[in-house]
Amino acid sequence: MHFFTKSVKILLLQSLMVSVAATQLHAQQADSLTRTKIGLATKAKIVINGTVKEGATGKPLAGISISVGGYSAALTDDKGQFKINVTNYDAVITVSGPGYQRKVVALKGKSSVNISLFEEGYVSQYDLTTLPYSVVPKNQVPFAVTSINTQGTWNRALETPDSYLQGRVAGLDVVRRSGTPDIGADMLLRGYNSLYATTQPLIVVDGIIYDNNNYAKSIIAGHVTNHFADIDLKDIDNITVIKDGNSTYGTRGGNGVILITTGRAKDVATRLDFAAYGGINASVKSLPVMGADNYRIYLADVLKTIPGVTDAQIQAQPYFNDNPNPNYYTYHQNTDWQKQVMGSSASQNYYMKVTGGDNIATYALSVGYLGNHGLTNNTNLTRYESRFNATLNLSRKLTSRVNLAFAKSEQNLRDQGQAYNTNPLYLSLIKAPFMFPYQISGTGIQSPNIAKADTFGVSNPIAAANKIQELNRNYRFVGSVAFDYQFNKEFALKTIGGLTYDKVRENGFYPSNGIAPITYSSFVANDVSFANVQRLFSLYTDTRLQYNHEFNKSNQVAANVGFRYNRSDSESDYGYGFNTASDDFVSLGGANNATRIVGGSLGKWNWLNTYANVDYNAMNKYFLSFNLAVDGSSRFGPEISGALGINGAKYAVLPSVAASWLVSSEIFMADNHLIELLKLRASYGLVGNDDIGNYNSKSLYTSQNFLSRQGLVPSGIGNPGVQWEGVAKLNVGLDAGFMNGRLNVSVDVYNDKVSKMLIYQYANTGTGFNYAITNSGGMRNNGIELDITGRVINKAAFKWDMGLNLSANRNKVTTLPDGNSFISSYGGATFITQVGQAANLFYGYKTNGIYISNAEASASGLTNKLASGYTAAFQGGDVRFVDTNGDKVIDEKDRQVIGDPNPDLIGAYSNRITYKRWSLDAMFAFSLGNDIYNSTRANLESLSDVRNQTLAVVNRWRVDGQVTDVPRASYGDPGANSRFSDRWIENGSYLRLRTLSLSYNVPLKGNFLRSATVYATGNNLFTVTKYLGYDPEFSALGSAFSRGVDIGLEPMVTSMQLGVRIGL
Amino acid sequence: MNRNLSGLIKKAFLLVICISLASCKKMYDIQPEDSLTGSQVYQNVYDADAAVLGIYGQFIGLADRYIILNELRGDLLDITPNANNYLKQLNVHNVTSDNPYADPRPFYKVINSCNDALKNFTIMHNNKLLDDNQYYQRYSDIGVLRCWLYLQLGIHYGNIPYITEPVSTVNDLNNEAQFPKITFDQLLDKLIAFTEAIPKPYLTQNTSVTSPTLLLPSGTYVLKDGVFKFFIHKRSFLGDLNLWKGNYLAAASYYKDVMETAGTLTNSVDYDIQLYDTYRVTNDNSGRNTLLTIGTINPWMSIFYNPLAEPETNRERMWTLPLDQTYNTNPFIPLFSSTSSYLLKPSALAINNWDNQVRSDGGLSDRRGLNASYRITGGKVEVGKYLATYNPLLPLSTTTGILVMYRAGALHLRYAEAINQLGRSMLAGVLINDGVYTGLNGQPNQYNGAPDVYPFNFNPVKPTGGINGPWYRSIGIRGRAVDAKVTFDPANLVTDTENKIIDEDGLELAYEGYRWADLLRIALKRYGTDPNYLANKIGAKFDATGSPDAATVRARLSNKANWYLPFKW
Repeated sequence: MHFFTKSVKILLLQSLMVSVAATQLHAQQADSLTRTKIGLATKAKIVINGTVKEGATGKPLAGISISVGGYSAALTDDKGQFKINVTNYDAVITVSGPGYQRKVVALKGKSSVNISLFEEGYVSQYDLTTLPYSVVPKNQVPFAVTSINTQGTWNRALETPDSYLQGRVAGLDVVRRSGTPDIGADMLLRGYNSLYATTQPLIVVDGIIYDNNNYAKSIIAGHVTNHFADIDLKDIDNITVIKDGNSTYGTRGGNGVILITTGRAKDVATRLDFAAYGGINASVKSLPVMGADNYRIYLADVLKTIPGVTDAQIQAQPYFNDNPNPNYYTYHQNTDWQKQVMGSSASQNYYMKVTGGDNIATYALSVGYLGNHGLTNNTNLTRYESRFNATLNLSRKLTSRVNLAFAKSEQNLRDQGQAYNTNPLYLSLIKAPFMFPYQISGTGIQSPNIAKADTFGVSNPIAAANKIQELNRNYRFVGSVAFDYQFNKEFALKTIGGLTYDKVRENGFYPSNGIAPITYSSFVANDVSFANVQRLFSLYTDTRLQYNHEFNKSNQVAANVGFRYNRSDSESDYGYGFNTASDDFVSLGGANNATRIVGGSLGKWNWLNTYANVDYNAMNKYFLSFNLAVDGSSRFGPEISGALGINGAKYAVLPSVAASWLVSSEIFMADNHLIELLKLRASYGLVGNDDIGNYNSKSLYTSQNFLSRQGLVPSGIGNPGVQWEGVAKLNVGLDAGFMNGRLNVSVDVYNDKVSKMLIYQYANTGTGFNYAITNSGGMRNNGIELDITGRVINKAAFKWDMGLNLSANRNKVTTLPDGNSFISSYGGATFITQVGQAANLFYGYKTNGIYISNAEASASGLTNKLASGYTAAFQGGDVRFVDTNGDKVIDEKDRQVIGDPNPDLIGAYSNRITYKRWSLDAMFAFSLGNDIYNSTRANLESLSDVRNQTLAVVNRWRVDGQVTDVPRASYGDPGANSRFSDRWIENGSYLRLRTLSLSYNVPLKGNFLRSATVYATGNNLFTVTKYLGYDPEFSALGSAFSRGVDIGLEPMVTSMQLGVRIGL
Repeated sequence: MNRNLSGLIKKAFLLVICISLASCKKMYDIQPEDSLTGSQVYQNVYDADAAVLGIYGQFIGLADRYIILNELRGDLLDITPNANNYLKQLNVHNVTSDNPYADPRPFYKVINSCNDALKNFTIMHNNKLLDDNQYYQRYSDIGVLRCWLYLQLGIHYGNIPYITEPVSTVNDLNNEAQFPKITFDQLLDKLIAFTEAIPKPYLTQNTSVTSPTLLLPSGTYVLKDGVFKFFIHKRSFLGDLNLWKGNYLAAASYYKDVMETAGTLTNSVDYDIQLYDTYRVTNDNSGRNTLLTIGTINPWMSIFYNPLAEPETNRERMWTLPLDQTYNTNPFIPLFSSTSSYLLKPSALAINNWDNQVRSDGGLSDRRGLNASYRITGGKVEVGKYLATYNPLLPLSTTTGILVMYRAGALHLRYAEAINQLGRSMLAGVLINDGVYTGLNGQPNQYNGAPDVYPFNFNPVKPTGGINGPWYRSIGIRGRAVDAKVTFDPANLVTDTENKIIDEDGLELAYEGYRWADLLRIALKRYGTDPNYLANKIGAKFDATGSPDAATVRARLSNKANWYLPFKW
């Protein structure tokens, strides 16, 4: 990067000095801007003959438009034949027609061509791909991109854009966060490119950066506000994922870029589409926990192990008193608690889109409503969306685009994950089954009043599901206006300005009735009310000068210089209040003044990205793209060594270069009928990650109270050298099309090197701080991606398309400061990150069964280091932990790598079968070789307290000599048998029928309806897995250090919808 | 410039570019709104005050560590069966470097805050943002507090890095060479050099008159003694520093200055001063106004729980820290209460020491022992000094307490220790026994036949009709405890007196954070003559319970290297 500093300084200045840039850059882009150039060529005209046929039937196609970029155009006749003039044999012919795929055909020196076309929507190498500056056919793109033309996705009613991407892009690992409606997914493009900064790709919607981050945690446990859900999938026309080092987005592009184009009017005719869907969401299979009979025995067993407790004391407990007594019925029930808190539910979705206009202005307006329910009782989602896109031709040279989108969602939620007092799913697993959800009189009469928290201090799951109130409301407005001014055929000025306003409001209330009180240091909270507001205001502009130049028909250059500016303001405010007058007073205002807790954070940052881009196309065979970004940010420190400095500020200089060679367009390939298309690609580029904290470059002071007075103390070691994380992406790829496009293959091999990775570096005792934030880490991701699509059966009435994509990523940490490893923990799991291995490996104890007797335990000679720092002998029924270092003491030094949460291979297998008017889509998604820490099972088989456990513990060790794999019950688990070990690590591989969708295109008579389609869709229909938890797919945080940790989120459910779409 | 650029758009474009360039610097320099950067603090005296208050706020967080290190390593505190292995390590002086209680980092965190404040106070002073008075007031307070922290580090770790500059770079985070260690003795030299440079007037404890912005009434804490005593008592600390170094005359002088506080200050809006009583261990004969260990409710105990502004205990307390349940949790409740975690308890040796004292009425057991320094609840012995106001039935609302960091009893004992080394063993004995009024028969003390001079001069004269000498109410440490006088071995007077002083330390000051330091200081001084002093003192704790650890502890402490904790980098 240092190499570039000097020349870049010059380049930057040039880019800022428009006049200089404009006269020096000779660039041209092969697009519609140069159409007026017809007739310019002085070369002899060459006439090309050809025929166009339909791919399936071979019948000639009439009225297909044939064009040679900016030169000539023709239409096919009734026999599918055409004649067209070209200037030379390097020319390419673009073939398109309504209802058929768009194809770009290279002449390869031939004067006659036979072209066969598949129907519109067939995935091919010629699909239009949206790049930051242009829309070009995929065969001309030198980058590793996947472009999805969504075709409306009318059959995916409940999907959000992120979850929709699952299995669609090789290299994009989409892990849905949980089964909560709209919660979306974490997306990892080619693995983790950062440990502590964001790992999520940059999302750009219609030219505006779409800030998908949350700047504060939800106060509803386990929930994540998914701003991506504010875009209705049916509004999206195209999603393009740029996987390699296209550096134009500079320090925002380190995790890849996802460009999204929302729908605009395709022509001026007024069209109206309306769709309505209704469906059901099934419940999930219960986890096998003990019933009342087994639980009572277990309870007695575990209570017996409390030191000093006698059998008589245990028998005196009301729940062991089987004689008639006033509490008999309270403790002699058998409740299936899981069935009490979750169940099946319904969903509905309505959507309407109107497009149309005239030759001055076209518009697309869409409105949508989604109502859906979650697995947990009383959880639901209501979402309203509207989008207005308009295109205005203000003058011959000036066009304008306006995009306005507003979405509002309101979601009733319940705690999930590690909220052990209020999470209904967790409570339903651990609640004593001999209790009852409602109060019961001494004579066994049930009351409608729910039971209070029980004698063990466990909340009533019913109260957690029915009486807790938790509401999340999210509003997002994104508006933008763009102007394109075409000075002449070569120069254009394009500018877009937009703003994003996002607000999340959350309210919650834990009632006193049924929920166990929480003890704080100076008071007991019987009820809790809480609220949270998060705001994001972001201003974004992107202005560039575009230059296209055609030296001749074989040499074209397109160039852009411009800058993007982004200013963001975030705010988060939360408050907790306790002990309102009664459960009817649920707001913060009703809470006790003395004990309120309030807090929040404010963030502000600026980003200025100055960029330059040159695309060169030689003979339609050789494509070269150069991109450069020079980024400044308020987050960067003022003392970054080796970085470009201008006027006291430091800049990231990030160039990239990509080249591709369309081998198949060479003349020597002219006679090869098997290979229709073959393209070799290579790219290398530097990108960055600017998510390094807003103020880490500064030495900050934080408030420290002294009694009621506020003082200030240093809060950390400011790092004036803190900088963006760098990612150097090297990609080599191949795109190939065989048999007239019936089989398409893309292969990519990449090596992404992350340098200057943000690390919490251990600080010397003398500093007084535990760590400082430094750019001292490094890692790399290697991987290979394969994407195959093809038509298996190609008949007029029956077509079968199949697709398979596979990706394998291998992560390795290359640089760490200090001892070259560090340990992190999340949700009870411990991870090790060390040089030479993947970043986040499960690090715990290996086990080797159970000591069958005290004699065997003492014969092992091992002692167990306890939490108190003492050691104790093992006894019969304890877990046999492996003494890795052979020192005869089982302690932290015996931990080893016991699992890898990263999958070895992920992918998807998709099918699309059309028969006459029917079509069937089926997609299977799979993940292989990833390990999961099942923390739910760790709780449910800890055998350490009065919580209900799984049926497996019935087989627990009870007597000397018993051979089993479940340890003894021991209250408080003093021997830490349930510590983080390979007992809880499970194989998380799965294969899932992700989507199955059947649609029928209703034949119509008369002119009233333009189209009518009926859909039946099923999601998550079945999952093949050995995983013992509810669901092997989940993502609690986007971070590497939470991957594979199942903290007990709502599982995914099987859902089915029936829908109808009507076009007018 | 391209000719095709239309004028308007050209200008607009250039304007946008220029604005974005011109504002670059400002654009990239965004100040956080929910915390402050270095350039935003230290702008005026209120910022300087905030630094001082923040440091004291952090300092309170060291309270439990301070008490655990100084008492559990000594002979008066023991572990309960609930204690974890790390406390046990401290108890038996076999501490591993992963022991969280022995981590010096929390001390350095406060030291770093001090360093940062001191550096910036000086910058502010140079920039005329603080006037001389404002500057020295704050600089000397935080400077001496930092010395106090370093003295603690020296006591517990021996060789330590002495860092006086705030951490400024992340480049040497883990480079031990950046933080060279110095020996305890070198450290004392540096601390003395630093404190001697402070102008004498600013050695007086901070008061609202001298620093009106720093000291404001707050909550239930009234302005006056109750608030000003939250700031370090500098002169007594200087006495301690010199005592450690062996500068006994300097030490005695500082202590004496403090003992004569009532002679140099008068009762005012700032000071609650009683001429005959402040910082002199006295009995004012008022019946109620006394700390004599008599009566059904032992008034001596009120030192540890009376409200801060209460005048009788205020004569005794010199430096206190609030443990207010509204703002912090009181760490001593779980440590000591038998209804809570109950990790630490009085040692059998300590209890024996109290129980074996002879009272002045001839009875047995010291009234500072049972139901004062220790108590028995449900058959479990507890440290009483921290639990006086705690009610296990109201565990969430009765945890407010105070930590007495320095008091007149300690002052007298330290002074006695210093002057004993200067040959005033008899006077030292009088101070720990029944005080100068009785002990000197109401006459100013004499030395070698002549009236003794500063800092040894005491005037306990109580003439009929005339003005009483300032020391006429002096009753001595044991006098106040209503204990019989101890006698001293004239053949071995200095050493024997010192032994008696140390014994009295244990009886009077147990669990207040002095014990290990006192034993270590004597052990260091006697190393040439009695290398096993410390081993025997600590070993006695284990002897008292017949613990098998006694021999191993003795063996470890007979090696001077084991007197210090491992310093964890």
